[in-house]
Amino acid sequence: MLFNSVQFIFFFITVTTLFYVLPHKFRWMLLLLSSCYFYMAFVPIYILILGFTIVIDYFAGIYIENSSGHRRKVFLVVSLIANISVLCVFKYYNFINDNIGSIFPYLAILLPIGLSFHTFQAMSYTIEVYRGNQKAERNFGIYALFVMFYPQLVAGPIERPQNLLHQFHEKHEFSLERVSSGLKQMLIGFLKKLVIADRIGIYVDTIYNNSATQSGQSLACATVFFAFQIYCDFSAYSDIAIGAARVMGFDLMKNFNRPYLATSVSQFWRRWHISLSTWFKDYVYIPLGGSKVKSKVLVYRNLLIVFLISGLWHGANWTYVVWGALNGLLLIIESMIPKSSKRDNLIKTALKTIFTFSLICITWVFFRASNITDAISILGKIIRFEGPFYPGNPKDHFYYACVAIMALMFFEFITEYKPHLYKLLPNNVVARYCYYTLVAMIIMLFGVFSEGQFIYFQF
Amino acid sequence: MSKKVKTLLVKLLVLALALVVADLAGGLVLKYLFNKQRSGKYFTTSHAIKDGKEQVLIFGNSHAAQHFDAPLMAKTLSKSVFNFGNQGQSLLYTYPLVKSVLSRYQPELIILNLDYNELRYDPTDYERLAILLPYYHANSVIDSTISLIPDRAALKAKSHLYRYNSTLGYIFLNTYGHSYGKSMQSLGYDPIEGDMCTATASHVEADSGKITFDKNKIDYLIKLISYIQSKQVKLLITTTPLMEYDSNKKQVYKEKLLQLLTKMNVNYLDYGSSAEFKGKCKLFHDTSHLNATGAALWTKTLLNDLPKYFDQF
Repeated sequence: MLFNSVQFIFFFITVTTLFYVLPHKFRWMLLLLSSCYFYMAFVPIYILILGFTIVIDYFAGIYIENSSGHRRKVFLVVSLIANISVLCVFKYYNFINDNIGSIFPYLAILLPIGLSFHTFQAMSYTIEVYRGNQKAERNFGIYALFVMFYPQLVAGPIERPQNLLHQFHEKHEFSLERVSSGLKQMLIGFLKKLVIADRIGIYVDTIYNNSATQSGQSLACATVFFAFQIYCDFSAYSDIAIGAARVMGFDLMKNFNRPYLATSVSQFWRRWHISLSTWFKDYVYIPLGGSKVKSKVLVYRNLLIVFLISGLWHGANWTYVVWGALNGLLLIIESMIPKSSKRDNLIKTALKTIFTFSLICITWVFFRASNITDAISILGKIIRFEGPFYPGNPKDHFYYACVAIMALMFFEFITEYKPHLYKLLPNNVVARYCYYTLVAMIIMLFGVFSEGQFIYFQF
Repeated sequence: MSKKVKTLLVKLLVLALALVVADLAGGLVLKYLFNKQRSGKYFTTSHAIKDGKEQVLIFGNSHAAQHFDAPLMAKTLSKSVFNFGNQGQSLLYTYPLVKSVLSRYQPELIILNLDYNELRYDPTDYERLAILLPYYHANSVIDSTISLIPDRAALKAKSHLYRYNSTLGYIFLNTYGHSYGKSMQSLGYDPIEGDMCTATASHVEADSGKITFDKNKIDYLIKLISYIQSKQVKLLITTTPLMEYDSNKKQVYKEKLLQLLTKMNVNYLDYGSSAEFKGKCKLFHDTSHLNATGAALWTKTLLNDLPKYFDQF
């Protein structure tokens, strides 16, 4: 079920109402059943894959907790192998097979939606139980709900058990403030997805799907647009997920923090897909030694490994691997440059922000292109920057997209650098209702209602 | 029910009321602005649905809009003419338009331009019917056509604002940035410049995928012809010239179309593979669209042929 579908609106209202009507002891059952229904609205049979990893990890958690010494590690390894195997079969089988000369038969596998998200969340559970940071969950239903909680089931945020599991045991009283704050965040999510991401996507698809015949100027514009499309698409999903969970009293972690205002690539990665970045930091980078290793070369190696895995996590295609490698290289280069202790002035901050954004856009070319050859050809055209510029037909989408991006960046800038300006706006009941009504009107007037999928669903 | 829940319900109710009022008020403002347009696709559609009274009418897609030089026809025939053709549209759009016109008055002649692959199933044809959303509730045929738009558009059209979704920029451009094409001045005709000899423009006709006929289109064509005939309005079906004609798939669609037209006993003027136009790059903007020079030549050819079908032309 897509968040941006009429079906979801009815689903959300029904589940939330029942959640508050039911006594606390039955609420987890309601959430589990509704999460199953939510997931099965895509490809019903794939719930069995999810069920398989849930059963393995549930028992692995208990066995790890109950064992000592070497046996703990064995159970952890079994759990990790089971999860990674599911990923390998359903996500990487054809990719691996293609790259070893197709020695195995091709399998027409449809990637289970959000597989990488819930697998990583499940893996974080067994690792944290192994590390002793989390007690093994004895209630199978609640553990299943931790993996399947519908707001973040298919595209995150990838939660840690320490943050989420205990919340399913706690009683959530109805709170007007939380409900209203959750609904507001959902509204912002819908605005980002329907008005900005899907609108920009029309132009991006037009240009990228015909990249061979498009000019450098059009491709450069489409690449910048894609940067905003993927940001708005993914952060919209996170906003709706966090908002929907908050309405029921659950706190999910923040996933984006104005990434395009970052003044360096490392800062960008602290602001972009935070739940995944911290996952890699906690479970890959630090176990490899992180930055506390003997030589700089080993730090660079660790960074590169993390980003190569991160690239592969996104998809079974060399374009993602190159995208990850490029990001890793940028971070390595950045770490070689000595940092100034002086605070940057406005112009220097602006230049750094634009430079970082440009570097990130270059990496997005590989993320968006169908294959490496296309990506290199697109980059070549962008560098030559030849015309003519094609604004699309009709041109409306291009102009709407430009206005939407400018408005988005204006609000992000205010939030980042001049948050006190918001205090100048009237904050009485009438004004608040006017804001909500205005946002709803903007969505109705400028939203794209084709119920397009979220980009990150494919991962 | 706790006090907090009651407060939330009251707040939501007030917000819902505010939204309904904003939707109605916003819809009214947009309707006013919408009706002020002086050119463009909505202008010609509104003209067909609301106030067009011309004697000779042309319907179809871009090949109608860009190939039939309506001012030239009006001058030569000494009759009022209007070109209701619209880019990217199909029979699904033409049918409610013709029905709307004929429910108001009886024109002398209707020219319906059809492509060879007019009866092909193409899902984008259904998405493009969104052009009719601002006319929701104009009449029952428009409403039933709107119900064909995917993603529950008919349900969403209950919102007055949604009917004008993505049109605001277009409305302003065609109200304050008035253009010649698709205006009252051009009688709906939308000429295009540039030729294929200089190769500045390119256009490739989408003709991929397996052969699938659209049952709705077949049904609409039969109903459309029967309705025009029942109203005793003269009908000429045309296919305008193509730069080149080499698609095998198109042949299958063409045969079906010819079979249907023969069965319905209508006049059909087929210039799709005419030697007079074929391969002449100076007359074409792209492989299937005539430029203004080509359109003038085609219109003259049509005007010469008209008396063969209808005595008074």
